[in-house]
Amino acid sequence: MEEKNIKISSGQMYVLLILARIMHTMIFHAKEFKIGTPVMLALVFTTIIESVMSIPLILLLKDGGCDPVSIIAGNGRLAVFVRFLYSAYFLFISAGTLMYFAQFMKAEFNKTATPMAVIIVLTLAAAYCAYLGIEGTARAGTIVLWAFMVLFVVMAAVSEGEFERLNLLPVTLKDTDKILDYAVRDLSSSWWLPMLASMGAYLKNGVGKTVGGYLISKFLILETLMLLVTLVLWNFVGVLGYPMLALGAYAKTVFIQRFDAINMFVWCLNCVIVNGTYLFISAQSFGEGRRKIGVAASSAVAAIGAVVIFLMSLGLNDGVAFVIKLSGIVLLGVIVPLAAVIVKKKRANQE
Amino acid sequence: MNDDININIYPRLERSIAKIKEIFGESADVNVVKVYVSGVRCAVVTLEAMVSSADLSKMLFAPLMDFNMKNALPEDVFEFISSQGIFSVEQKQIKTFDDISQKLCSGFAVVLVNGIDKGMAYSAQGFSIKSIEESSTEANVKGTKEALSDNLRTSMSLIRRRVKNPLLRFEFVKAGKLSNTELCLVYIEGKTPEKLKKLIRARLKRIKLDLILTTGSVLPFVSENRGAFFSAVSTTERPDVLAAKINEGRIAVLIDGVPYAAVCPTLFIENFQTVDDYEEKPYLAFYQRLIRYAAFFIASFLPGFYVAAAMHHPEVLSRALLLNLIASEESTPFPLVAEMFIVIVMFEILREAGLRLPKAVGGAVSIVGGLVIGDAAVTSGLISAPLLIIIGITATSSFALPSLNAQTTVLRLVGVAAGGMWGFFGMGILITVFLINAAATDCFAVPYTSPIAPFTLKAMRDVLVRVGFKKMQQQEVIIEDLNGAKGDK
Repeated sequence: MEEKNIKISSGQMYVLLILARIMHTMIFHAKEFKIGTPVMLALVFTTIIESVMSIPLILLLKDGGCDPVSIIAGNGRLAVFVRFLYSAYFLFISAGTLMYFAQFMKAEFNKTATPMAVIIVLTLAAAYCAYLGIEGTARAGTIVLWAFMVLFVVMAAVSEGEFERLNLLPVTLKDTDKILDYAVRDLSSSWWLPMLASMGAYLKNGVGKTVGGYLISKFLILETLMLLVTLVLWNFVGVLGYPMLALGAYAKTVFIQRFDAINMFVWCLNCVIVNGTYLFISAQSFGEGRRKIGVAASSAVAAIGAVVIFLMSLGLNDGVAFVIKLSGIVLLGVIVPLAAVIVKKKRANQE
Repeated sequence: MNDDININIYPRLERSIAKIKEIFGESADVNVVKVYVSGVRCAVVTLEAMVSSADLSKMLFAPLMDFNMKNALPEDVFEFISSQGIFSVEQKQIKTFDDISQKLCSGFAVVLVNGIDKGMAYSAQGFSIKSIEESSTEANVKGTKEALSDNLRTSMSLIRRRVKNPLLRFEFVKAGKLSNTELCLVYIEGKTPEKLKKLIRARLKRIKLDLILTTGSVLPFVSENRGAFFSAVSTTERPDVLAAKINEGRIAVLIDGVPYAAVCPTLFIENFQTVDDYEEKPYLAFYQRLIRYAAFFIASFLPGFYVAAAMHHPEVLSRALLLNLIASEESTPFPLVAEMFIVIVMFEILREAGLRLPKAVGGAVSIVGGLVIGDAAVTSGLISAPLLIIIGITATSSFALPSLNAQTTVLRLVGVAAGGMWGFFGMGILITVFLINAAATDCFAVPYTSPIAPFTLKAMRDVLVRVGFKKMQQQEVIIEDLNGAKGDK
């Protein structure tokens, strides 16, 4: 009892994963991309694919949390290299999140703070989060998730937008490209797999609950959002860019017309939590090095790393970013856990 | 210093008396009465005003004078005083000068016999103590009016009267190199985890301070949460609250000379619970708690959100309010953030003055500050009226939660800075940072934010809604249930 809980429950892990996904969805800018029934269908396929991809992780963590990297390579050079990959990957994801949030702030609240100020303040707050540890972040995440739920309920309760059923166009063969395009886009956002793998050592038990809960919630949340956007807004999203903001702005009540700032406030809470988690993963992936330089220093190094990668990736092609994200998901979220399962099984057989 | 006095009592009485005087540096409050008991030279040593003269003469001097034995030897006299003739609530044989000094400082009378290298200490405390008074910081309408006392023994009796069971345990630990203060661990055997007791004991023994004069000097040793903004150890001056807390498996530390007990582990939600919640119907308790939660958010964040909305997000405000605000602000010379800081600091000065001054004058300070300065500031155009209303609401709300006063004060000031600089973005960052800090605060593995995060359903019965006592008695919730170690929470 004297020691702090250094492990988190399956529920808390679920919260961290779903918040990361909500963050990504919220800062998704529609641009020319049109949301409609083909996209909703694509989500069914991607959820099935993600379910299959998560099998190695479920097998690895079903008996309680463990670190796949230690299982594969102990503390050798290979382990250092793989940990470095995890660290770099989540710094990249963190930098991307910071960039998208800064862009959102610039587009919607350009007088409130400059993009650089937004990035620095967010990174500092996230580094503090990482320094305090995953338990605190997960507990705070639970409260932020409650705040989200309240926000969504309030939005739904006061909205006067009307549903237009004609917007629900039937899916035809012509939409195949669109379905494939969204399916790949959605899969490249599945970094919950490497997230879960890298935080495996902190999971108490119940990986099945975490994965199942995450996949079902993600599916329901995204489908509901897309249904709402399709029924209520249709092409209006293209004008405002951010589906969430468009949803608020399109509604006719006085409350929702003033909703953007409140929406941003809740996004901001989430952005700190999610980036804090990414930085925590990066910092703890320093492995032995983290112990030597200390928790505060490793969190600071991770924060600096995220800002540096953000600056380096400013002109980065969308295609390259896509490849990095997808490769990371496959390598760190599927192959590494799969290898760990095989090694674990071999050792068990030998014993 | 301890090595000098940790030596055995000398057989020669004069030498022992000289040593005692030397230890106390010829202090004026050391009283030595030399008497002959059946022809054997003895001395009664006390500290001035620490013992009751009446008790001493009845309990000690009368039997000593009555003792009459022909050709009595020092051993006979010592045998008489140690096992036959003198009765005290607490009496103890002592062997060293260290024992003598400790007993004298605790209000004992020490009897030494010439030719014997031992002494006897008799409890005869008679120092004047304050009577039991009403709690001043945890006022209530219907509950008990008794508060813990400065005197440790009185406080112990107040708790014992509420938990009349041998499972209630008091355990003494000494701390303070100079003050030698008695600290008392209070817990219920079987309810408080063994590890918690061991840890607290060990941590209290690690205190190397010279003096222990306040609860504040013990709290950092009880719970070691570096950088925690909220405290996972609370204080209470109510014996009924203390009894309820230890019944949930917590442990309390009483300090001799301090009318407050430190209780740990403490949860954030407990700041919103009062004794009256358990006196009223559950629906009223729910309503009152709701008000307290709202008061916390208003006291901490309203000025920040006001500044953020007015400076960065005017669209959040209604048109009528916005026009009113613009008109008011146009007539004031300072920027909104500066104006807010000035009023907050003014309020803190008034509060501090009201607190430190005698009660009669304290009221006058409120009138001068609240009415005269406030009214004059608005009339002269220095401060806008809406801002003064905001601070009025904030100040009133802060009075609803005295236990979180330190936190709300800091959050208010930082909130104005964050909201003024970066609007709702700044407020969002501030709230998240403090939320994570609170969530990362633990006390003996019990998270400060439980049972909300981590979520423990059965403990939610007394968070916002308080269930009835019939339901409460069906299932007991102890603090160990909240440490997130039992299953999936």
